[in-house]
Amino acid sequence: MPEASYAIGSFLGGEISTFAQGRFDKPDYKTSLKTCRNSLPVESGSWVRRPGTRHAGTTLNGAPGRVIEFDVKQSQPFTCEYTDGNLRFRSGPNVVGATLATPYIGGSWASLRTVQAETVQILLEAQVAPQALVNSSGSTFTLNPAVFNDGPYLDPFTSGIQVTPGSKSGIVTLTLSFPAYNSALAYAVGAFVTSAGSNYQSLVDQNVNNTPASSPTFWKAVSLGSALNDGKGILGTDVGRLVRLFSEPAPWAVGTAYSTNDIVAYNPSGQPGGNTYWKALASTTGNVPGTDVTHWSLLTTQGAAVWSWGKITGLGTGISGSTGSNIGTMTGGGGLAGAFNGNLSQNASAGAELSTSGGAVASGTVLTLSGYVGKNYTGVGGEAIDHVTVYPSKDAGLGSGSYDWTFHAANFSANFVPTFVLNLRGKATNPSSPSDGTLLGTTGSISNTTTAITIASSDTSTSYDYVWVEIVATFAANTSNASPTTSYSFTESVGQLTVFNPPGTVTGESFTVEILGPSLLYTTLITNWRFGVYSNTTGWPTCGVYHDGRIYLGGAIGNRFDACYANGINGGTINFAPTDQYGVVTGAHAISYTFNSKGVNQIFWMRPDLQGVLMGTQAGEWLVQAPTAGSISPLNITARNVTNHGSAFVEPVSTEHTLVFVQRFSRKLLEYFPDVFSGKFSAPNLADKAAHFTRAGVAELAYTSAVTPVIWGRCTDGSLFGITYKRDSLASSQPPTFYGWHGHVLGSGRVVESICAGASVGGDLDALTMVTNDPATGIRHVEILTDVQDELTPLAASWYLDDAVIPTVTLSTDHVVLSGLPYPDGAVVQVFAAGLDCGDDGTYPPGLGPYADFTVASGAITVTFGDGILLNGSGPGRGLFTRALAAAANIAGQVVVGFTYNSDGQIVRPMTQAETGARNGPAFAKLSRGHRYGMKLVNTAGLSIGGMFSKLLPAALKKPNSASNIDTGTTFTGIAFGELNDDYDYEGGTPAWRVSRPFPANVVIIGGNLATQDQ
Amino acid sequence: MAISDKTFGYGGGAVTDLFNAFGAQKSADLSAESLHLKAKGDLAEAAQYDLASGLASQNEQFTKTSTAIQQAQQARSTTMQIGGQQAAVAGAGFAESGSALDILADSARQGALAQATLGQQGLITEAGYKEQADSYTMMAATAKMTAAGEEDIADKTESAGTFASFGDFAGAALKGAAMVATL
Repeated sequence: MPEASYAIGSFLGGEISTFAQGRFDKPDYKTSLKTCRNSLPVESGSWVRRPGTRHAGTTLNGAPGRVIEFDVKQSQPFTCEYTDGNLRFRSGPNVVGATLATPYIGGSWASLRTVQAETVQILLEAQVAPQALVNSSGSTFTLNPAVFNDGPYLDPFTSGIQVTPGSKSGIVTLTLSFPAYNSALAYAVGAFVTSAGSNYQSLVDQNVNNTPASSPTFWKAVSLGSALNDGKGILGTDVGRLVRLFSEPAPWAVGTAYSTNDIVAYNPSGQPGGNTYWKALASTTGNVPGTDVTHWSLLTTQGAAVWSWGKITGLGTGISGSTGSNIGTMTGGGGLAGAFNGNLSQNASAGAELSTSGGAVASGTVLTLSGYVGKNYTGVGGEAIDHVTVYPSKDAGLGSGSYDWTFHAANFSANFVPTFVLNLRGKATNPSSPSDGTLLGTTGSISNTTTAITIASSDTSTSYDYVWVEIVATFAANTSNASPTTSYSFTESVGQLTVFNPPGTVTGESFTVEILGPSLLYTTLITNWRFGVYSNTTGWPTCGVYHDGRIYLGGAIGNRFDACYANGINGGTINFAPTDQYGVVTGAHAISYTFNSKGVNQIFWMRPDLQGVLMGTQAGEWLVQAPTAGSISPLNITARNVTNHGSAFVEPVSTEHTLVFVQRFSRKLLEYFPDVFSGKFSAPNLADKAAHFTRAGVAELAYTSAVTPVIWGRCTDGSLFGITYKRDSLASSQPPTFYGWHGHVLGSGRVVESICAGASVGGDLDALTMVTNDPATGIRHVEILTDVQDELTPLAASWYLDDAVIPTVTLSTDHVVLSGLPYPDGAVVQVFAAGLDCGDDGTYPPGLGPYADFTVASGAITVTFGDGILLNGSGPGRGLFTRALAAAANIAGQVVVGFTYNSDGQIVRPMTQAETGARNGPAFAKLSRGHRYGMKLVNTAGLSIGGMFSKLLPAALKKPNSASNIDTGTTFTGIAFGELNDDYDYEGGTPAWRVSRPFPANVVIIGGNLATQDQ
Repeated sequence: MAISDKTFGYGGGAVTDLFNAFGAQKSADLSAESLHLKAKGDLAEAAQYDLASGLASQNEQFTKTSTAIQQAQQARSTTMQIGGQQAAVAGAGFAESGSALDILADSARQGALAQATLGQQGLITEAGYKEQADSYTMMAATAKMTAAGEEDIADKTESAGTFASFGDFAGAALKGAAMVATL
């Protein structure tokens, strides 16, 4: 006999972990659930079934990929689909516009981030130069490398390395040198000098009057490259890198005879940057500038010195591609000559290629392809090698290929995911195989890439007659269910190969720069110069944000960020000038700063905030803001390490009032906001009560708010979760208004590989868009979560099937063929037509199954028509799926085929005496049994309920004032009640409910009567 | 004994010459006195020019000193500014890198330019004072030379007066003797 009753009218506590179920003292315990799967609490508190997903096609060729939103206009959102080397666009479920080629291959799109500024999205990835995706109009997009003008730069060199330009404009050769040795100076350890035509580095401190050539204990001979790129010198991967040069007149020298109008630099203080500039008023020798007014006239920087900039176009140590003869086995495509034609960015077909193909191989078989391309330098007496730079093709990188197989009579195809090892080799005679000769350097195993690769040689002194790069590609065909392949092919490619001599220890090393800024004023020595911060040598920015007319970038160098010139964005061209040409820094100029931090950590994310720009590193969170009135500028900026939670490399999401990011170990989700009273940032952990959802590590977040505010998350294991979340109070002492977790398992059995908040199917709401994978076939689908339905949505318009499509309907006399299904043969699918579950053929009582679902063959299924008898009919839809209904449903677009899924809910155990009937305290560790349930339901059908999921029975969904169940094709709204199938249990009295067929279910209140045995 | 006309003539001539002698002497004395006075005035003017020249030279020295001080102050100001900026950069939570270096370099460049500008301005002012001093020195020398000339002329005028009066006295004596002879 029940002793107590309870009623729960809100499920906004969501599913909580077993660990959290002990906190029955917390206010949100009563609204929490033991289970909330494929369902979610909505803002009003009700538990609703998660809507199904709409199949929006496969990814391009079904290849692995991801989706990223691009909301050009709120009314015209696009979802970008990235796969290896390709980019497609979707408006809702439809692919629009042209497919664009991208440099993101080898899965590098997985770490892609975007920064959107109006109609431009800058794409950021660590190994690939930023690209500018521009929406020119409608669904027309272009993708080109983003152009960074005049920056950002590293700090000027302080090692003493200097350059002398050969000319003032155009393509300028810059010759490297060190300062001349001066026996009167004291050199610190590490200092560089040139003496007697050779370059040296000081080995000791207080190094005075030790002639380098004869003092090996004080000096060591070095190459000019020792002062560049961490001792690696200028590399082939520096081609394209920016350089900034301060063109100044030569320093005044006491013994030089100057003519009228000659200009000199004079630094009486000797302090860095203390140069002043003087023009000779008459012929003069030995008259110190500034000591009289008759020989020298003072000049301002304007007219006397200028900052210019350019881009490295070539290296003096590079051996011409026409030197020597070509060798190798990569004779396909453009042939061996294609790899030495000087074009650093060309397709695989223009470079050197080597292909292989075959027929049947067992699934999982590891295949390799080894080829080589190189040079025979016998004619020039051999070449000493410092390094080589391999430029992969711009379309296929180092190689690509695919394999085909059949499974259940269906044909499948997938792309190989190769890895490569590039070996630099040399030999005195013609190599007999790619792996012949001396191994001079290797990349180790790397993923496919379109980014230039430098391989340094371990032997820079030996002259080799034959030098080549061996490319070993390794790839495996992983078919579904271990099916053997029917065929495969693979091609490895080299777009360009450049071989470099060692810089040596002699002076005169050079590289060429295309001057893009003002012409240089002089061809004299330049001591003040700097390299670009981003390049193929140093890496590229990985995250950014658009704020106050500036694009902020970071992630390539620890603690450092760069922001462009104010409003310095013009299409895909971004101005990063740090100063004007005279060295003046204004508030508008680009910003480059490095945090003063106790550690060195890359910035993982940036987000605009009312107070400035929030940046997250692995170690902590920083607020970059303007300390005084006005906007952030190079002259008005501070950074504060506001908290030290640390972040994972996951893009955060901005909710209504807060920012939510993934903590560094990927287990916690932190809501981040400044306390309304103290202003201090606070980061409560949203996963505190649902750690079981994030156990595998959160890999991606998305936020949708069209109907219910939900933070969606994808874990590294392909699982999907959501948090119905809202915070109204920005007092850190207050919990969120609600945050209810829910887990989701797709009915298709597919795992989730990417998520974003894209356009809904109708295009009028935001919706979760996913790339999903069927591990059996490896074919990726794009799925869009359909709209959460409200209480007035008619049953016929319901969409509670996953990966579902509206098929092509072909009516016959007694059956209908539903075709165009994107499922493999043998897949069992459900059909929902105008409110009818076609798998329910009336053989069993409603809700009890089993069901007669449909097996896909050649992308189609056949559904026979029912007998049309209203009660106890036979055939699909309990007999009501007739030809007339099928025809009408087809016209209305209400025939949906997909995969059903279980939507489960179960309350946590009531604990209080009032709720449980326990008489001597809480019901903990006491046997309880639920005797009766009551549910307030809205528009619900197909619901089952029981004391636990193993005791489910159809809920009593009766017609009003009737003992009869609701009719087929209708839903129930009202109070459902009945006996609960339950047993006494220490966890008893916790009703569980489920919808397993394609019907809606909305639970507003659940209550029950239970008895508890005091002990 | 009657006094003849000649006697009266000689006596009158002698008296006239006596008075002429006294007049010539007096006139020469007055002219010489005038020239002495003018010479004294020129010497006084020369003394003023010397004084002015000395002051201009002093100003030149003052300017040199002042410029050196201003340059030192400018150097200090630049150092203070750069130091302040360095502290501000560190205080803002940033390393001395990137934009911070650009700003510091700009400040250093502007400081050096301001310091050189002060030096040039000082040199120009010094040159002006030097020119002034030289001019006054020259004018003093000229005045002194003029005074010396005038003194010389005065002396000569006095000598000429004395010589003229001596002639007149001699004439008077001769005429007196002639008068006595006619008695």
